[in-house]
Amino acid sequence: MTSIKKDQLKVSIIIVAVSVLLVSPRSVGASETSASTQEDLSPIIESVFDTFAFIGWVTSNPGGTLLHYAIVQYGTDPDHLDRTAKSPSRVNPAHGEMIFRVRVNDLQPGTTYYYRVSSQQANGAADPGTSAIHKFTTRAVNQTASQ
Amino acid sequence: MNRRIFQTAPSALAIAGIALLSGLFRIPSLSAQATPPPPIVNFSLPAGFQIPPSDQQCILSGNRLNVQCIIANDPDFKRVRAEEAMLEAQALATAKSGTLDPYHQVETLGKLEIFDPTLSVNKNLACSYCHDPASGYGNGASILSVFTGGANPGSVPITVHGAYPNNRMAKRNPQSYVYASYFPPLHYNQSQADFYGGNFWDARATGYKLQNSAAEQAQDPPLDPEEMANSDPACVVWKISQGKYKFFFEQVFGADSLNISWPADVAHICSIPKGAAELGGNPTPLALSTADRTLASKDFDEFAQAIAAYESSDSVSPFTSKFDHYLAGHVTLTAQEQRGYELFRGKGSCNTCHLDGRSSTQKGGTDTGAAASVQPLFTDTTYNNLGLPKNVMLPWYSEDTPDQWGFTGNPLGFGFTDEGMGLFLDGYYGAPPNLDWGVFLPQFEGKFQTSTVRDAAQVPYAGFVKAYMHNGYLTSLKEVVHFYNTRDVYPYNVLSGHCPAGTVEKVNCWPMPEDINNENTTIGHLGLTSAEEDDLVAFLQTLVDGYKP
Repeated sequence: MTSIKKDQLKVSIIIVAVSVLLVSPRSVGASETSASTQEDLSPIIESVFDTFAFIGWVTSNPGGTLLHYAIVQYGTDPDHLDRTAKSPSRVNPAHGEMIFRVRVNDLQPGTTYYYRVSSQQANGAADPGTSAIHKFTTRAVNQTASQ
Repeated sequence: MNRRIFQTAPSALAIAGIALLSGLFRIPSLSAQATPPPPIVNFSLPAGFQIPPSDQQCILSGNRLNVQCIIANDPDFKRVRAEEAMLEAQALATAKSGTLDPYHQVETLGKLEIFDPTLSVNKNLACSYCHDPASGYGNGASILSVFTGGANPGSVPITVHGAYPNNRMAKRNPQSYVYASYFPPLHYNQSQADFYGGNFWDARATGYKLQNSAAEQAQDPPLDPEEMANSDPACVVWKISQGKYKFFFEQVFGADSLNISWPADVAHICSIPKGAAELGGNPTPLALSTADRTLASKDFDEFAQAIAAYESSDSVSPFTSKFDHYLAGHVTLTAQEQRGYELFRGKGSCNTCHLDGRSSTQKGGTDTGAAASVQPLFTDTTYNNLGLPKNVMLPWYSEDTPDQWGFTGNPLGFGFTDEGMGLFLDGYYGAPPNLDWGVFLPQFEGKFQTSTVRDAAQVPYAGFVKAYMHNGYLTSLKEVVHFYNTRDVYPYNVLSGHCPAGTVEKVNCWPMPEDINNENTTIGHLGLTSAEEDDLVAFLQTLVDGYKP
């Protein structure tokens, strides 16, 4: 191989390698299946009522803008998480951890919802961390308080 | 309410049209039908509060107030007016002494203005009647904290037979003046994608022109129909030109500053309250020459700047709290105050927004403990939606019919939703001065200013009930902390007054947020015990100015 072709080959390999790195499956809103997602966010249901619920999770301090959004993508079909709830929350730069919490409204009573969580800076830049798909069921109307 | 005029980038023509329209009148809602307020039920007086005997005759059925009766009889109203008459007289004597240096001259002029009731349309309401020095320059009437969310009566009575309220009333709890001049002009920080600064609960005193948000705030109540209700900014100037400190205004801002050729009907025009039908929506009904109008506008700006100077002074913003002395190494905190301080920047997450000057690093660094700021403002000057419930006690919801001047303060009645910054960005007060900001409406609807916590605990006397937040829904610091701690632990989709049987509102039942948009979740579920809540309240007491070490 001539030296020019070696260089061209090197550049081609580099371009391909970079392209592979750039086209990563990480993006909020992509319809990932839970099987292929490595979860490192562990959301919990803080509380669930008939028409709303609170979901929370803890991460290390994400840095970035002080204003952040905690996000829940959800729906009644685990393959179509077509609704999004977003709650603003502020980062405390002196804290090692960040508690993200979302209030999910306008739910139907007695219904099972599937969801995944994520968070982003105020400018839209996504925080690291991926979530599998979890589920919760809202209380039926008139059901008394219970956990 | 669908007035999303500024939500997307509109054309220049639309901007111009909206700006023109909004300069003439408040943009009405598409749903203009007044909703009557519901009866106030399940109301109880705060623990330890007793209605003053002289106010008993002023309580109407349905837990409402005869406001004119309160103005005439309430002991706090009398106290405030007497104290401020004394402060005004003091300021006038000081002004006449001829011994003030320039710094103290401007500040004293501001003091004269702030305590001057003649500057209102009926010459009966000073700025500081609603901003009582003894109450941290916020609402100074306990009875109002209890019955009206802290909302104060304006200069104009309502004499329509059977009207409730029988006085024009503002729609919000007056904000405190303390450290207001430390809020910079409103600015959208692109790196943080957030607004900082401004004055007023809803940011509308941006300070864009004078680059002074506290000065711009001072220009609003004089012209607000619910407050001092002057029909024309030049009326405020006219009154100064006719008043006891005219000489002093000209000493500070220049000889002949007030040398304006007033029209023959100036007294008549300046006795008509803002919003009266006969004014036809004209914001400057006084006929002045162009040069005199320009001079009057400059005077009105200078009037406001002097007020801002007073607000910056040691009379209002001195940094002399116990906490300030602690930062300077003069005193130590008690064990409980120290516990409260730890919670303030720990589990309470308070200093996330109420900056206490602690050192911090981005992305989980180490708090070295040294104060990065020795005069922390206890606010980051941002805006948030705390998810406060609607305060059904606000008389504002009943100001839905024309008064004797043909003015209706709140045509929507109970249908009015206080969207905070959303009102400002959406054109409720007229087009915002920066039309680029309209695009931020979706992220800022529902948000209200992060007040300083300094002097939040300042009360005129033990037992005074102080109303907190823009609608005065919370009436003690314990309630405030408990709300932050448990808002999402005891949420109910009910209106205030309708907590389910077996629950107690503000204890284990929080009614639904007035505006659910952008509800902040930094708070709401803090996991504090009641003792920890008390510790935080004890820490807040250390932020009251005037501490002697």
